[in-house]
Amino acid sequence: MRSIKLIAIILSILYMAFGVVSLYNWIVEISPINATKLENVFSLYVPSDVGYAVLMLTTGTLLLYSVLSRDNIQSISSLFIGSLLACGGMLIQILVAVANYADAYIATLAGEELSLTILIDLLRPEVIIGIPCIALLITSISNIKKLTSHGE
Amino acid sequence: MDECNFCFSINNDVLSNLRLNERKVKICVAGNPNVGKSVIFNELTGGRAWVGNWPGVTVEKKVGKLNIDSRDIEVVDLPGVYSLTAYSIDELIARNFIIKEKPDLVIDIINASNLERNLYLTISLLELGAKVIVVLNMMDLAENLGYKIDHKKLSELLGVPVIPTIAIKGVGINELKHTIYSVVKGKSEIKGLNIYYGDEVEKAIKEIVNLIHSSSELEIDYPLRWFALKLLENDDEIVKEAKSLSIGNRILELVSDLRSKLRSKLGKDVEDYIIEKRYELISKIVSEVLTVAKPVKVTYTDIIDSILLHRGLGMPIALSALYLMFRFAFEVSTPLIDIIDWFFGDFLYNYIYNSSLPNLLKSILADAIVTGIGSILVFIPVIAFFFVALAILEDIGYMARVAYLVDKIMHKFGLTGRSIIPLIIGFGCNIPGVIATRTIIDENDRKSTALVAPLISCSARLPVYLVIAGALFTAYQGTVVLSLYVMSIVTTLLVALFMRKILFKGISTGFIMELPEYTCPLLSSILIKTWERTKRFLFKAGTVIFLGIVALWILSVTGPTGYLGTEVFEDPSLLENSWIGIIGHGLSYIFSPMRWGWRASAALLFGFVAKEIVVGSLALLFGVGEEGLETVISSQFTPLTAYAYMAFVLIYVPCIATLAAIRGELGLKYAVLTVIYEVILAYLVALLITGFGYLIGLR
Amino acid sequence: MIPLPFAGNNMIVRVVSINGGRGAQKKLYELGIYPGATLRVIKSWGPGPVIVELTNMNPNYRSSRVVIGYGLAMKILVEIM
Repeated sequence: MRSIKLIAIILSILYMAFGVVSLYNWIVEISPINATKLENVFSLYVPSDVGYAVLMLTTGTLLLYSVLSRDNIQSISSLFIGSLLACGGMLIQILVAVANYADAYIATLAGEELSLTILIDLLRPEVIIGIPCIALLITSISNIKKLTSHGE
Repeated sequence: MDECNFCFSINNDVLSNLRLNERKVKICVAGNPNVGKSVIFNELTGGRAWVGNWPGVTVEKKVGKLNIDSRDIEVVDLPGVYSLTAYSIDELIARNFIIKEKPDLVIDIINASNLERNLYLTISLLELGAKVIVVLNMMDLAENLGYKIDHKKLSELLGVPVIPTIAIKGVGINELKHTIYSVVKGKSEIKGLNIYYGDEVEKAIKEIVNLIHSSSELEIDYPLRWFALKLLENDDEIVKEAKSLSIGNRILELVSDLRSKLRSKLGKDVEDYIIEKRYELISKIVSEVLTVAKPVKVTYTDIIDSILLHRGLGMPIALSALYLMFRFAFEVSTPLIDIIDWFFGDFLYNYIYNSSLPNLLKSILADAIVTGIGSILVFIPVIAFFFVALAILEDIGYMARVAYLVDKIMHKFGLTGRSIIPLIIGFGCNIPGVIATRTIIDENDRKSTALVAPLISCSARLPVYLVIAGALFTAYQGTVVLSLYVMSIVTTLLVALFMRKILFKGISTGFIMELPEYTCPLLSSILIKTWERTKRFLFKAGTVIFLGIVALWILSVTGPTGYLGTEVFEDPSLLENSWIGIIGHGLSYIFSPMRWGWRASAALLFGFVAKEIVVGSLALLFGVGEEGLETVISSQFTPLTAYAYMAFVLIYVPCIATLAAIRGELGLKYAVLTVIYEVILAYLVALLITGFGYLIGLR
Repeated sequence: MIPLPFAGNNMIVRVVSINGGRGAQKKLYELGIYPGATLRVIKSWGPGPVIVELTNMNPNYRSSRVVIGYGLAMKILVEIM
């Protein structure tokens, strides 16, 4: 499972990094400090949202913990929950993107112009780096199945 | 029948008198919470079902029909209970149903993976003289744990039919129906069960029974032995019943005498002794029917909980989950909101105004009715989505973990972890939140939680924040809104602490709750739960809010000078002469320290009816459409006065429908109390914010 | 004999007595925690809620879990088996 651990570490660093960036953006937004936000990282949009930062940082921490923890059960569980949160975040953002897409068309009913933002909505960290997390999720589920079927 | 030390069986010959065609057959379904009772109820009746992990969401009576042999049998779903004491309403409901209505059958659903605990209710039912069929459900979970249950032996020992099932897969349901049929038809016999409580207690029971026999036997419709047993156990309701008997006082004197004698003989309270004796019997039964060949070392619930309940990681995970839930509710529902908004606010509204109806009728239809209905329906998507997400988390079993994680914090504010669920519900809509406080057992905890629930910022308040913050804080809009949500949580907790320490004093019974196994949520359950909660908003709020809007419309088109005409909705200077204008001016005197002006003050009156119409009413009062509202607002408020205004909207009176819910749960007195304390608190907070602002140089 | 929160994780304990008020006792009894019951402590650290698992008579058996608040748990006296 070396490769899994490697992927997990890389992804965890990415999640935590984006989480920090989002936190930074949020602090810049609310404080009188005159700094520029980092909303465009690797052409991915990073929101200035403290809840988002919590999500990203937690996901990153869980993925990291799954590699570093010496407790086998906690390690597998951490990988599961971490990848679950990652996929959850990705799924929500995809749903939001679809909702915005539908919304754009509804707005034309009221006479507004059509402005599709779906590409922007999907070019977000949790969507892009969420994709490899699907693999992690599947792996962790099969690990859990293995653990519980032994029973000895 | 077996002669074991603890039980002897009795024959129920009443059963042989049962004939399907003679009278209506009535049966009921009982069991612990979370055993799949509702699934089985659903299987039997093909009707509505409720499957929940969080115990006792409502105490509604569900009745369905079971068709056997082309006859209809009425099936009543009793609340999920662990025993039949007089301590909680749920238990009393279940108990009294069995005693008063004398159902032909009680279907007792048991979770096979938790025999010991579940059998306590079974024993209690049998002692009550109920005719029971035991359903051994969740056999698959039991199997996963390595359990092997000899259900034939169990049936022998209990003296009733025992049917293993896996309800969600439909396994065993036909056999259950068969058995119901044959028992009701009188084809099979059900023996009862009486526990032998040891010489001393049995003697005491006999003494009480003899005393009652001697005169008032005809006055009570309880089984005598059971009645006597409950008296010894000091059951509140039964003691009350005894008092009302002709020889009531003599009975109670005897009981009290016996209880103290038994306490000294047994070395403990007789009710504790009785419970222990019941468990002794249960232990014996369990040891004879349950074997675990290959005990499972680790379950998937263990694995998942090792992280979800982790002392460091647990909370951040919960916060992340809640964040996703909020995003789902507020951001994914937007297309639906916009369609509804467009349909009522744009399409229908203009259609009416462009028609050739008389002006008065146009205004009634468009400004009152269509606007009214629209402003209610536009919230359904957010509320529904929120509750769908919440139902998923509940059915998976996660919300119980959240309650565990927040218990320590809640404790600091006089509450327990259990209070968190109604409060989280409140973020969607306060009304189901208040109603959900029913599940809190401790009276003081329950009242405190219900009274602070309206301080939780519901989804109806959000549009007010968004419009005002959008007008005055543009760049910081998101953070300002977030700060209001934080304020909501902080005030909720602080007021709860105040309530617990001053109003509802008393040490809490303590936090105790089952942590269910993680399960896959059932779509039907999620939909039903969501609908149950959303409909509270729709119907309660709907009617109340709608009437309120009509009332406001009347107050707008009339004034001290009489009827003003529907032009008030186009010309705000006319509106000033209406009742709304008068009241608004009056209120603005009270709000002069906050410099809100008569229109903003009048809008607060609208908000009393429903928070969601504050925005619409501001537009109305300023005579602009919703697009022009932001410019007008930024000219009428300063950031300071706006923030104070939003804080006031957050805290002051919950919408009338929430008040109605509080009245329903706690009574009129507390509903009035809520209005008073919230208005005063809101005023003080707004005053403080304004004052603080002046102090640091803001205007 | 020690209060429940003092038993460590993964210990098997037997409930000796419960010193609570009527309401507390009843709620505990109902959920399967009564004098004589065998429990497995799943989680207990610091002054916080305790998670125990019922055992259906045998320490090797797994069954349902119950969370007990700290104050209430302190009233449950157990002995370690």
